[in-house]
Amino acid sequence: MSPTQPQLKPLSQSSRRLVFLSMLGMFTVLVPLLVLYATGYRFNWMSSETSFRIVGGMYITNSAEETEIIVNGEPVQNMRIFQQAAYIQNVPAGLHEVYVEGEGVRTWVKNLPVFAQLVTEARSFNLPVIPQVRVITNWVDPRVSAGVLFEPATTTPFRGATTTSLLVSTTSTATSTYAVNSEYVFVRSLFATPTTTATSTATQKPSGNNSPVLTTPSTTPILATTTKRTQDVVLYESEGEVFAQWVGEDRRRPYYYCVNYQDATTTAQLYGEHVFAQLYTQLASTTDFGNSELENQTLCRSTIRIDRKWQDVKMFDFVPGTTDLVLMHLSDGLYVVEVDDRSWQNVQLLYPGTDIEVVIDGQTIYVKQDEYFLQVYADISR
Amino acid sequence: MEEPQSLLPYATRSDFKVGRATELTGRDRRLYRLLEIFPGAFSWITLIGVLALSNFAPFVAAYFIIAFAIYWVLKTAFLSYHLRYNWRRLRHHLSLDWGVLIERFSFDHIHQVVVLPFYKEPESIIEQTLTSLANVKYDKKNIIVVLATEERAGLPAEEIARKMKEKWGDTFGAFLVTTHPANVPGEMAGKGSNATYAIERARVEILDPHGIRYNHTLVSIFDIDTVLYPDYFNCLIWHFMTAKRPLKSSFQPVPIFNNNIWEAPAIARVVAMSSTFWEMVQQERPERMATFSSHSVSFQALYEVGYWQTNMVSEDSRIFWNLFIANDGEYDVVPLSYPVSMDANAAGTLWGTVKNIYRQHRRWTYGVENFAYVMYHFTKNSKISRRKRIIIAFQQAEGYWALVTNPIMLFILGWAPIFLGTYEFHQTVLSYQLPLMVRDLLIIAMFGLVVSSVISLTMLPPRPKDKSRLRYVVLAVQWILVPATMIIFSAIPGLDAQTRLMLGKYMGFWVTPKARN
Repeated sequence: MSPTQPQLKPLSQSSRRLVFLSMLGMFTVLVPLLVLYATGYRFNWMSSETSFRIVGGMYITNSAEETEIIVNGEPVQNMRIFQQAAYIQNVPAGLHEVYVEGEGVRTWVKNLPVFAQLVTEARSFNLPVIPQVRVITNWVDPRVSAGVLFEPATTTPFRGATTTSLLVSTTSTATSTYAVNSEYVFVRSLFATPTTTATSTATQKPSGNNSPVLTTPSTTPILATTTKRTQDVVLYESEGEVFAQWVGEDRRRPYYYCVNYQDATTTAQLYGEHVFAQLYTQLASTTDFGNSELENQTLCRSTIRIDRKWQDVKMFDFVPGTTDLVLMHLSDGLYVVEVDDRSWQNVQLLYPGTDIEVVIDGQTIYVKQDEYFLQVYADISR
Repeated sequence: MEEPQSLLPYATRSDFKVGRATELTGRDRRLYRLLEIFPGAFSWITLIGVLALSNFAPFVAAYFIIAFAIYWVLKTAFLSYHLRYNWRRLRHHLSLDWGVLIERFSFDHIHQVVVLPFYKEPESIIEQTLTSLANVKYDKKNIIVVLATEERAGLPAEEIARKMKEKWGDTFGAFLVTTHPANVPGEMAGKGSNATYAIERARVEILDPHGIRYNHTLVSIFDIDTVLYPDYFNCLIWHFMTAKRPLKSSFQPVPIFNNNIWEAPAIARVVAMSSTFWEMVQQERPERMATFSSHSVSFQALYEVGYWQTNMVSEDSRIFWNLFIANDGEYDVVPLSYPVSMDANAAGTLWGTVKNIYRQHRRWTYGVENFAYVMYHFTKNSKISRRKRIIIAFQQAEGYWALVTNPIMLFILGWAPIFLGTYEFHQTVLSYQLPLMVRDLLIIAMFGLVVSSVISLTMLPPRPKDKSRLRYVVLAVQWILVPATMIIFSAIPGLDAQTRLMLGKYMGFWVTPKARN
């Protein structure tokens, strides 16, 4: 017998209602569960006593690629959400040791406090272990597009540095086949211009938890002679120390100027005694640190002292393009120091030398060593 | 044109076919204007509200966005369930011999009037439509073709119509060419005014002289690029004969925009298939349906409301609301789950295609003008049950609101608390988890696209010999464009249309250009 109607009927009201109610039920259950999850609540399935715990997180930005983040000795997997940032989830509250390391770069290490439902931010930096430079010679050989070094090929004028320049060595002083390098002329003019430098003979005060306590300086410090400003951060020198000061709006103040205040002891333990000391010095007149209502409040400083490794500061400035990294020309070389002083400030050598001069022109760092001019890179990718 | 004498009582009201607030006066005008403003205002308030919430109460905004993303996943699953079911039913209907199924009915007395309004479309497109009409498994002597041209289209259109009549005139029971006069006062140039003129000419020149009864006549109004499958009229007859109230029903096929699918760019294919899928979903929930694009309806029903409205854009859906309201809510859309093929909107260049799709979807989404019409008459026609009015009001409001706001909220505003939130918010786990969670939920929702991809492959016409097999891979992968097409060709034109209506900048009818390689 032939059919008189299609075998497949339209979807029935009851089926549709069942699916709809199932979806509604799922919605009702999922919304609170996922909201709790998103706010840091985790259900502990593995423990014999099932329970909730509340976690925090860490957000580490890093410009160096091919680096690894290690938290409490354990490498963090699959954490990058952007090319230059990592969000580390499910971090229990407490103090955590963070390393960012990679081949050919200096290791950045910091102890960072993490609080339940909050994310601790940090920006790591990893300078090349071997300084990356480009030599700017007086003469260039246009036939091979290379700079000319009037040195025997056997000499090594830039020991301990890697140069990206193509250079030819010659012992002849004849220059008739070479062309004058206009960049050299320009850079030489930069160094010919007198620069204001501030030097100090002061002895550095302790800078981190592990810094030794030093004696009072016996020499008279030289007062600040210059300030540098990039965006809303000012670098200035006072009594031989270099300070970074936030001068912008409070709501835009970077996280490392602030602490999640607990009590005096805990805050000092989590952030470093020096941080609490600075906080106390700057806020004591307006804040009652004995008030328990301050717990879990965000307290901010406006000034952070920059570590100078107990050396004299010949020159300081921002690392070009940053407001949180300071270039410090100290007695034995050129260093990069982070402003973030939670636990301590990472200090990394950019270029060594006791007899170098430094000039920053725009985004470029130039170093004069002997009669050579070098462009120094703070980035291993060069 | 003279008003038909047999209008339903409600259809005799002077405001029955109101097109916009400016056609009314006094309180009615103010009410109608308010209803025109409502959808756009509600959408804008939502979007601005989410932004404001993100700025001033980012935690609340974040909770809302999480809840919304979950809602979206479940909605996707819910719609996919309907889509997959209708796909099975569509294939089943295509596999049936409807001629056998209708053997038990006596339907020789039923005439099919096919109205084909056209403007400046090329001859080849009309030729293909008429060829498909000539190939249907139905007694051609019971088919009356009305080729409805526009005076403003000029001599070329008249010439095409003449040639078509010459070629196909003897194939069908009757072949009428009508020319809708240009610049009729009170009319908007468009499909509705053309079709109304044509169907009235058909009544006067064919139905009445031949004594063809109105309740024995089914009218199919097809876009000019509509290619029929052979069993369309048999399928229509079966549904007409088995409908609960056949003369109080419109019959909606599934428009598959695949005539030129192999030539159309990926963006046009995705948008076209998405429109088809939406109609397929609606076929499984007919209580939410209004007629769309090509569809069929009894002549008597049309006659009782004075045919299509001639003063507005979305005449294809408006005719359903005319019928629904004039029949005091006792009117249905019967889904046929049987396809008709139409053209995907594709121009000669990619940019041209993008512009055309945008304009077409802006016209479609201008169907929001029906909201004001329906709500206005809901306040006037108390014979429609209160329950029905409440349900429909909610469905309509939610539908227009969701169309515009959901894609924008999901793909753009979901990130707003991260960019606009307070310092306190930025320090929280919630701030960091929000984008990850929304991303993961959207990925889950994307599984719905896998279903779409598979279904779309089964609905393709045969591959032309000059197209590589690799094209199938492209056709499967193209669905990753959906997030972009939802915003560019659904949300933004929808918001554009709602905003125009809200501001009283009423749109005219934009004719989608039809072109095939």
